[in-house]
Amino acid sequence: MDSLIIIAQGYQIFLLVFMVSYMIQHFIFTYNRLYGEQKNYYHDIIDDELPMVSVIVPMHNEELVARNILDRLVRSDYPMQQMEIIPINDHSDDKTQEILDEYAQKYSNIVPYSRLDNEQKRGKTESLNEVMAFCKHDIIVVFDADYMPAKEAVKSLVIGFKDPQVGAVMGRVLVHNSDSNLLTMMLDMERSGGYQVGQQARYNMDLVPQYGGTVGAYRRSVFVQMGSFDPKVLAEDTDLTFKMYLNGWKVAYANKVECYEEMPEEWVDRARQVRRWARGHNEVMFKHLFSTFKSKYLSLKAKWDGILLLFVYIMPFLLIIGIANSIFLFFIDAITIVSSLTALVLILAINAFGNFAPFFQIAIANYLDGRKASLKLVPMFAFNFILYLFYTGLGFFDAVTDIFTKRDIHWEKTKRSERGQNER
Amino acid sequence: MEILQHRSYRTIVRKGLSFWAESTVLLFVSIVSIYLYLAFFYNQFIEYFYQILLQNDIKEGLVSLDIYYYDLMVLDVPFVYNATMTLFIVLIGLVLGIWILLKQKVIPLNVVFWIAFLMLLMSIFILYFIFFSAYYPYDAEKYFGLYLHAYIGFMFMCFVVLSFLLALTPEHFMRKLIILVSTIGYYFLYSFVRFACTVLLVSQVSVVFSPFMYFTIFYDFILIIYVYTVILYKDTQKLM
Repeated sequence: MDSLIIIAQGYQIFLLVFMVSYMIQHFIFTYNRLYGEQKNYYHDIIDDELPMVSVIVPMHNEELVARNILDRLVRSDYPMQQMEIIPINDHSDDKTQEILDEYAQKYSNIVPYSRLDNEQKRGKTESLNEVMAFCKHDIIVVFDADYMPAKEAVKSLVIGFKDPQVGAVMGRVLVHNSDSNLLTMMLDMERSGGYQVGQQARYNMDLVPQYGGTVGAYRRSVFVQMGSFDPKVLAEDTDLTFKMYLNGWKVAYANKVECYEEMPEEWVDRARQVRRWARGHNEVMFKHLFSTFKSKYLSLKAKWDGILLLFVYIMPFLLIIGIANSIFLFFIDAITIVSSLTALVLILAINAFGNFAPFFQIAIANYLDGRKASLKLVPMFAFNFILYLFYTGLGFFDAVTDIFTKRDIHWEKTKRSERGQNER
Repeated sequence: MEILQHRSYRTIVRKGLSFWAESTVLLFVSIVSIYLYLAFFYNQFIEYFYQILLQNDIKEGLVSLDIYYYDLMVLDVPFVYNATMTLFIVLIGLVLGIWILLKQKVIPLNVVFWIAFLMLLMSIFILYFIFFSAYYPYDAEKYFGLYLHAYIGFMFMCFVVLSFLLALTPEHFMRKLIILVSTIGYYFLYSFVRFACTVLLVSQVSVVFSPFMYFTIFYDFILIIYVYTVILYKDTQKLM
């Protein structure tokens, strides 16, 4: 029994150290973003030699939003003769194909790619892998179908590749339907915390800014050389991020390249999304943790950041064990040593899950964005804690099951509303 | 004309004291306030509370405990152990409540999970007292010792976190100082009310509330979050 108590108490201290590390990391990020020197993206490069690009838009039943994204892309300030647009129809059974055919007739640089064979597996990863052989150019820009890129988005993203060390670039994602309800308002704020502070601070400090899978671009040659997307991994974007860093490439972050997306409007959809993210992220953690530790390309601080990033979706599971553990210690009268620490672990955990930005990071990000009214909502994030804890915990179990059973992974599409058609 | 920075690369220029200087002063204020709480305020409150209980014919003794090297008084109240059947009925009610909560569509899912979590905690504690109440290791002296250690430690950590977070904001230093002192004052008052509620719940209603009140301490942190967001809310004017 004594050794069990020592293990249980040791676990609480281990958890505390981990949580404190996260909080210090996020505090440094916030400080850096508020007062530090900001690393500008490559906007200032004046270069008339723009490269040829392939813009890919994976679509599955996107009749509500397909026209919007295609209209926005053809109105882009990127020279049309240097850009091919490849919307992928991935087994849609609505009017997506008709819309794509209509646009292909109208614009010569829109070249739809159809995946309608029932023997082909549906999914974003499979679509992106398959279309690589079809693309003509080395720079690949990816947008999700519900995204609303600004006129200069493609040009701004592509400029980053003038730096020969950059393997991928990532823009900022904003929420289009933030005024729908309380959930979308809060998701908008979470996104702001993640991008405005988290991503930008990581970029400022030469850490590990992430490629997010959309509103981003990468070099096709590098991508193919690294073995394309792994169909066994649900979070293909995080997988690509770590592949890039582990092969000596950099990911550049363009905070000014803003692009709107639609977020779930129902809590159930949001919970499923979080579970899916946790599943995919943990698969990447199992795959790249060891390589990140021994990487010869990453600096010590970048390794530390990368490891914390990889662990981020396992923390809820560890925290659930921590709560159960502290209850156990309480009832066997062994909590005295760690009594204050247990409470502290829980405090630190509040608001730390979701977009993995603690409350002060979210607050400062929204402050920098000048969103006065939404700041009042920050205390509401405390109510999301248990929901996220539960669903990210489930996502961890999904990932473990994926690893052991080697089962097929199916992409679950996030529910769309008709708001995608609205202009902003 | 002042040209506004694009929000993507907007930063703040600090005026006055540096971040570290401000944090140190605010941290010092937090330490002094906790010292005053331990050395003076808490015992003042408990004596006042004791008099109120006496006036209401609740006659309990006072016990002195060593909390963070200070002698703090606690009421030596007996815990109320409910009948197994009563606990069982409440447990059924809680399980039903969780089931209804998860099925209903009116309350948002995030709030549902939060309430269900609290109900689940309570259910676990009730289960413990149904089967193992004889093994419950705490009496008033031991429990309130644990509670006060946790609460005061927690309160201090809240002040530390708030000190650093206040230093991070572009607000005028004197205003930050006033906000910190007011928050500490409010927190002290709140801690007394919470402590009094805990004493009354465990001594008048049920011992089941003893683990519950201990494990819900952490959520008082919302106060700190609220104070912080209000400050930033006011400060956003400066960016407009």
